[in-house]
Amino acid sequence: MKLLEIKNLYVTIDTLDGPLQIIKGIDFSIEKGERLGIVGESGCGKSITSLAIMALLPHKSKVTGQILLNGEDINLFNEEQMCRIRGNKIGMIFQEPMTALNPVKTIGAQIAESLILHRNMKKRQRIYEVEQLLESVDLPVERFGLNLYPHQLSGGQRQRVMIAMAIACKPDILIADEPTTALDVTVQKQILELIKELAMKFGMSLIMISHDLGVIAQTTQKVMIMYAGEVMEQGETSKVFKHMSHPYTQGLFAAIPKPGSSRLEGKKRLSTIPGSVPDPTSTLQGCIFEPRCRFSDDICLKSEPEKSDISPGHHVRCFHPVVKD
Amino acid sequence: MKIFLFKRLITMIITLLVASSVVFFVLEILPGDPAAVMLGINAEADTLAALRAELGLDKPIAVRYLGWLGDLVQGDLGISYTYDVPVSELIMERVILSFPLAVLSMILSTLIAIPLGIIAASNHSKPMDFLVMIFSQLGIAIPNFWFALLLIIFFSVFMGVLPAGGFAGWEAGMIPALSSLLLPTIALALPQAAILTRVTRSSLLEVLKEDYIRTAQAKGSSLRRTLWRHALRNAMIPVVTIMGLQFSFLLAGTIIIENVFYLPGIGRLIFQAIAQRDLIVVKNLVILLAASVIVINFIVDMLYAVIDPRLRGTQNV
Amino acid sequence: MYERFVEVFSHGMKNRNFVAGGIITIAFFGLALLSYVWSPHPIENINISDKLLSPNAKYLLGTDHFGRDILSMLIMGAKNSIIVAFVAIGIGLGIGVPLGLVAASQRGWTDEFIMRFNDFTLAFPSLISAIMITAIMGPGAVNSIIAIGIFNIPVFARVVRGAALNIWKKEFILAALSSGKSKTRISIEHVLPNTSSVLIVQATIQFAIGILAEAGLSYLGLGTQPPAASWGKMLNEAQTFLHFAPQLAIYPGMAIALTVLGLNLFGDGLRDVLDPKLRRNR
Repeated sequence: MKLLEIKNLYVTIDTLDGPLQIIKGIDFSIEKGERLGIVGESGCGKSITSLAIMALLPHKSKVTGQILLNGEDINLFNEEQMCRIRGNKIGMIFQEPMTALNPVKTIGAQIAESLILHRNMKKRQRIYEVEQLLESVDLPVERFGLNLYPHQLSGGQRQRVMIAMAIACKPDILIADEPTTALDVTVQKQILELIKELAMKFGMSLIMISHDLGVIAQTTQKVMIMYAGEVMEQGETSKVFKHMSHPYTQGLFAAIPKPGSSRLEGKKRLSTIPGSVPDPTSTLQGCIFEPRCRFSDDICLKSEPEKSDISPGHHVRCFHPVVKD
Repeated sequence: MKIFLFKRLITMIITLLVASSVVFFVLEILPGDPAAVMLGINAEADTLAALRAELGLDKPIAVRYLGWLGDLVQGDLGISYTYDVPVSELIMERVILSFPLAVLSMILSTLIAIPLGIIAASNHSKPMDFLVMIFSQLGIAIPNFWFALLLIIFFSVFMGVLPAGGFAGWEAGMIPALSSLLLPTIALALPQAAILTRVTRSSLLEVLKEDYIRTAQAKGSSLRRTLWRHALRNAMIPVVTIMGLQFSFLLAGTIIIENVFYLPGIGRLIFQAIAQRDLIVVKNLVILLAASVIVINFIVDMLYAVIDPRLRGTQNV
Repeated sequence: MYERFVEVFSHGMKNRNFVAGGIITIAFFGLALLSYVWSPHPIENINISDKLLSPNAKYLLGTDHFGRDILSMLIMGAKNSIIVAFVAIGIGLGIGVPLGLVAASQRGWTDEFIMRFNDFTLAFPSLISAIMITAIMGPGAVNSIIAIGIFNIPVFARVVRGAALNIWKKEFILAALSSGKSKTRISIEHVLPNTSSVLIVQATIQFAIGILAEAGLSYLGLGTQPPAASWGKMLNEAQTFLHFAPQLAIYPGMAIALTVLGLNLFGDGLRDVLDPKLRRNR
């Protein structure tokens, strides 16, 4: 049995202009201890997917499909049952360390909260546990007391506190939603390493959400490329990165600046994907990426591509997958 | 924290000085001579001269201002012209009524508003929320003196259970004294509660959208627990601001309400002193009221620091 | 301009507050306008033999202790409230808006000075100061207008400054500056028109506050003087007869509460309609 299995997930949000489908039937799964990356442009639905798993989407949204955690469909759970999953079975790290911590509570109290909610511990034991957690995210207790407030810490330090909070109950799954986007470049690498290291140390599965292919390559074993609420390509990270088959994946990769190809010295301009993410209100026929795709033809306009195998464990949804030389 | 406190103290003293000079000079530059204003048009020439000497009007304006400030600091507020008793004595007599009245209505309005605001916010867009908002809109629209009249009509005229006005005095015992303050307290509290309910509700709804609320929920904290443990304290910052501002409205409210209920309090005193042109009483009362507003604002700022650790000026690690 | 009006109106018709508040506000203004052409009975007519009558066919809402028609007095009172609140807003706009525009365009110590002065005025209990002003200058409608108007100044100055500061950050202002227009001209030509929605909304709210303040002052006997009718004054007179004719204290209060409620609802609705960014939680 898979640890987490998502089957046919749809997310619809009610807006003033009618319902809006943000996630259009995605499937994926994750084994115990496995590390999965979800990549895509902003607005592609990668954060929505993680919030749907946590059942933390705004009330106006509807989630259909199955979210099986250890074989149990948590999408059918009520709020009270979900409270026992969140922080306990699934921990989450958010993007903005500046605003994701409560400004009027000490970091010690905020880390201890999950323990209070899910673990029956004496106060002394809890303090010891929180100190251990701070040590494990490299915030030595001698310098970073439990009584500090978030505003007294730097962005990177706050993100470490976030991590300590998320792993406090040693959850089965750790979801990191763009954990380094808001941080300085120098700090980013350390935080990524820390997350990966902790996931391995405690045997937690990791879902790493990012728009940055480099982050995914560094931390994950499996990857899923999302575009406009659909999965374009998925498979083992090493295979996908070696044989990028979907034109969108290729476009994403080509958009990364490479050393030595800056506009000043070089001749080549940084490549971009033409066009922009489709308006979710429009109901286009055919492949969702067709308007921006350089290989598009009649079939792409008429019907939607099904999943096809490039190699075992590497699927793509495209009529014209790029086959590498 | 100490630096913060010190800065706020300095600003408070400067504001007090500015307030005192404004009050002084406004009353000073008024058309006509204060003595003539006080005595009215039919005053005799020698009475006028005597009063002018008593008021020190023959001295330069700066000397008089500084002299007044010096007296104020020493607690000497002069002698009331109409009552012929020390102003400080006059004020003390009235404060023992107005202060409990203001505090009681502040407490009452807080007791009504904060729970209502929480109920409305936690039932956002549901019938309960709508009901609370109707209450709030009505409370803001109804003038407090009319509400006071309605209370008198109902509780005094029809039911006959509470006095329609007057103050029994504290020496008559707690029960009669408090029962004569009950209707005024309710009348004063209603509009305050209405505004405060609205502020509490919108502030809570605002805070509930913050990222750290989602973080708390991601840890498994229920919505209810998150509201009490995480949102409420953050939401109190604007609420406390409004409560501070309301204190000055409360002072103004007492003027009208004390007139409705014929209560011998500060509000009625200032109203009468103005009507009788007793400028010594007016000047000192206005500055004392302004000072109490300023001091309240100072306390509010201190409360911020209690609520919000970011304002305590703690050092970064 | 016309299209904008139609757009606001059609959006507004979907907003509960806008519709309810609008209807009450229009009714109130209609009543006041009506007083210019017709009122059931002239309110100067003192008819002691008809005093303190209950509502009847001749006097729809009854009469007061001088035998004056309550309905007619309410209608005249509406007119009086509108004039006082309107002129007071005029004072607030006329002085507050230029102050706010100057503060936003000059920044620096000019801004600091204007804003500190604002804070100071706002910190004073406005009714106390209004009482001081009317008491010293003498009671009466004109002085109560001035007293209420003075306290509209800092309110409008602050609102305009806040809105103007945002507009000064916009690129089209930079374009205007680089084309050599003076700050004053930019303030008038570009900034002011863009603050109009916040101004309109604030004016509605100040209108309601003005009506409440006028009622309070006339209740204390410092505002409108007889024989002119005012809702506050009517309540003051009614208090003497609470035991014999409590209904006298009901009508004027309902008139005040309904009008203020209508204006506040209308202001809330208008804010939602004019600027979705200003939308608050309600």
